[in-house]
Amino acid sequence: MVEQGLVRTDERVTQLEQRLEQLVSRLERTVAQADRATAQAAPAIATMVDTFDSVVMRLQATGIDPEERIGSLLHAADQMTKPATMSALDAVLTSGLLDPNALAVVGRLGAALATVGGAPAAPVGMFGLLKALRDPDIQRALGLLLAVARQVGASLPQAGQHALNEGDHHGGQP
Amino acid sequence: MSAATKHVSVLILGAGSAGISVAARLRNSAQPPEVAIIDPSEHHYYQPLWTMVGGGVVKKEVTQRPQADYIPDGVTWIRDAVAAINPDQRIVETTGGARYSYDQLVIALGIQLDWNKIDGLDGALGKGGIVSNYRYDLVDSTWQALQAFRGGNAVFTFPSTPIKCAGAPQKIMYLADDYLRRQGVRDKSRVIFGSAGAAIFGVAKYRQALEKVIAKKEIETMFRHDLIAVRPKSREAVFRHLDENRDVVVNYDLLHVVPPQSAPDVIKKSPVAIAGAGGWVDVDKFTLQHTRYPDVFSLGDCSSLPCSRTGAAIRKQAPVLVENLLAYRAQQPLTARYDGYASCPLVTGYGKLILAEFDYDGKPAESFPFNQAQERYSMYALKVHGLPEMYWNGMLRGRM
Repeated sequence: MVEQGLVRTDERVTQLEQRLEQLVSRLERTVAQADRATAQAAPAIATMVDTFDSVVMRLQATGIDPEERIGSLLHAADQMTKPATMSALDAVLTSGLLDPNALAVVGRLGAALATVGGAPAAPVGMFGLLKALRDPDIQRALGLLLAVARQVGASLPQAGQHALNEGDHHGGQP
Repeated sequence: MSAATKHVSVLILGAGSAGISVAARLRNSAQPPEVAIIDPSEHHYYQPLWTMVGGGVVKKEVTQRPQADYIPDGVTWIRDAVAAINPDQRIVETTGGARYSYDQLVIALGIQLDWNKIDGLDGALGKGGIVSNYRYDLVDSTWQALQAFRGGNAVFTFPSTPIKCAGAPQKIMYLADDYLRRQGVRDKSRVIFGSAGAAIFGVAKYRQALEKVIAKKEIETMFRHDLIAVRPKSREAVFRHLDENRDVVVNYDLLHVVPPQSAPDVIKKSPVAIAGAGGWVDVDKFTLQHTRYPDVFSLGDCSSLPCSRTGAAIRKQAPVLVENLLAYRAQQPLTARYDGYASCPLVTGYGKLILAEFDYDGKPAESFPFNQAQERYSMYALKVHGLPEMYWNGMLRGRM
């Protein structure tokens, strides 16, 4: 009985030793990995910072001040993220202004403004206006403006509707 | 002991960077002692940014916060000024007439600006082109004078005494040079460094880098020249040549003055002061314990520690002092050691900085694995955007 018990104890000790050896081995591997990572971290950080600073230095050499640009970026972010700006952006996004056809017209208007904006336009009287109406370019532009006016007008409330709404509103008062 | 004397276990004199850091660390310790701190100031200032205020980078208001927000929880704040320190009786008297006894005393009273050591300066500061970044109410004047500068001599001084942040006198000069170039007036100007020192910097590695910066910026150096007088009417700065014992007069259109500095008079008059010039609190340079009064400790600008007087130095001194003070209270040997570490973020222009870090032996003790003697934007960003937050939220809270 005693011998059997001793054998069982020996077996348990052996198992424990094996388990300990495995644990120690695993620990050594982990420490070695951590050592390698630490050894690699310093040159990696140095490389990243050196690269970043050399890029900034090149920008500075061309007259770009990173602090100034970061300040502008933060200002822009501040303006863009204001609740009022977000509401306005929402309105623009759902207005149809970003429809490709609308953008094409806006683009043409922009180009025209850029062309004529550089120099003061000559004053035009009644006769000049009548003469201009014979110009095919002006005629096409007026056609576009009238088409836009028609659409805008159709989307506006009728005069009666407006009055009725106002009357309803006032009628609600005691 | 008179009946009016109040007893405090650990009494700290001064609520600047050093005093607050030590108070916070003491209160963060496992068995915090009773702590009181004597300081009359309503505001706490992050002075390292004053160079950037003078250079127009930040507003001075961002450097000022209410002192009350940084007195650590559990610390008694005595809003009074220290009038006398008597280490033989373990008594501190205040200008308000109060008396405090203590078990241990921490002296962290900062440094005194001796403006009166420069003849003619009284009443002339902040106007007529005479400016300084060394006082909150004056620091705006530097930026205003720079903006108004249309050419001529821009003179920057460095005194013959130890000063706080020994890099500051040259940092504002580099920013000024950069600003004048951007404004197109540098070619009509001379930028002159009139310094009582023998070289631009003490540590060889950074000195060599800074000498290249000075050469590139075409700054004229006058070493071993100590500013002793100003003549506002004729716009003249009078320097004493320290080796040749003669006066040298330099005309200025802009004069950035760094005042001579010493320990506060209240320390000079106390037996805690070291014999000789400066009047600093006489402490062991490694343990920060007083050499003659073992229950007195000191750190920061008012101490005799032969290191560069910077906030970064205090960041390393505070944990050493606290560990040794607590060991002393527990009657244990003092084992913590301060190695003289100090850091000087040398701004060399807008968006450029050399981060000098070194110890007592003048050996570089750098934190980063790259060459810190190189001008870098990353280190500039760290100084302007990172370090102030680390100061308010880390160092003053006793966390780093």
